[in-house]
Amino acid sequence: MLTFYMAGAVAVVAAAMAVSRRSPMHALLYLLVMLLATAVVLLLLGAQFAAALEVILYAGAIMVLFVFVIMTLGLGPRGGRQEYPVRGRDWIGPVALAAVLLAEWVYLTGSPGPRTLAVAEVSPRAVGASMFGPYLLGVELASMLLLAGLVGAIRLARPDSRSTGILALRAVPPVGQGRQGPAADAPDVPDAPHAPDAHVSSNAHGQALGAPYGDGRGTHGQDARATHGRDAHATPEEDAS
Amino acid sequence: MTPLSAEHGMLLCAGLFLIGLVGVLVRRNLIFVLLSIEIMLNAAGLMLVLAGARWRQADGQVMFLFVLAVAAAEVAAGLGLVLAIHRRFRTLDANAASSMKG
Repeated sequence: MLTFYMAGAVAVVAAAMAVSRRSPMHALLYLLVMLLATAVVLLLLGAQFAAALEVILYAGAIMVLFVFVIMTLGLGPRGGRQEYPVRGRDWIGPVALAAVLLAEWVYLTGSPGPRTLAVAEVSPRAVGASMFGPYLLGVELASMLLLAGLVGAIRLARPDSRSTGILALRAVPPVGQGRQGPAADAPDVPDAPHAPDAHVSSNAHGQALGAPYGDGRGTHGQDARATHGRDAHATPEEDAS
Repeated sequence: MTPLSAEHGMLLCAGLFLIGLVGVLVRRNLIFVLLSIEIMLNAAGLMLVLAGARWRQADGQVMFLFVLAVAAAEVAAGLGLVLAIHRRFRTLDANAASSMKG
């Protein structure tokens, strides 16, 4: 019984730390610990198959996706400098929580007798029989969903072509706004890093819209916000909320 | 070992779900929003397995596998959207994409 409470406490603490970190990589470390704690809880519930899948899929595959995106965007604590030495005490928290889980797992595998808290554990055999029996249609639908997710991810994340057309829709000037034409109010956007995606919104109006966010720092100065609000029909109240 | 009372397991799931919900509502960084959604899906899956263990049915774990597939598809598409938004707005602030409407 104590094992469940310990794993549950680790999961809750790690989740709270994950959503409250400033750096995405630190948050991912805590999320990893939370997933491992959840796997221990699943193990305690007698769902070994689910626990293994939790570690393999969540803590393996999905976490790798997150890490890929964060590394691609350079969002680490010192973005751009990949090989910095591990300093500070950022790693102590996740390691301590993971050490609790490791001790628990060692205790569980070493202890004789029943290792689960469930009344009667559901065997993986029963899960498989149910999955490919009554739930066969659901499995097929899940495979279709995964295929759709794959195609959607490729489509959305493709850097070339006009694949970001969904997001470029906002560059279309609204009807009846009394705008003198796209080229009239387009400032010269001097930043070269913004140039490669200039074809996303070929009209200059899109560049004017993208300019407040085009400086690479994502500033939210008052002038940038005002320009942004006027051009894009976003009221300042909504932005400030 | 003594069987686990279902109420305590439900309490754990509710706590995890609440933390994820607060994260979605409070955080502005899109990476953290996705991460909080993962926490919520995880709590829901844990609840399904808990219910399956409570009633000794295999359905709970089957549902957990479906939740896992949904989470995988969601995070793939969501991270693709994050990449596209970062390329478009040069920031991950969720407020930056608020002008997409209309």
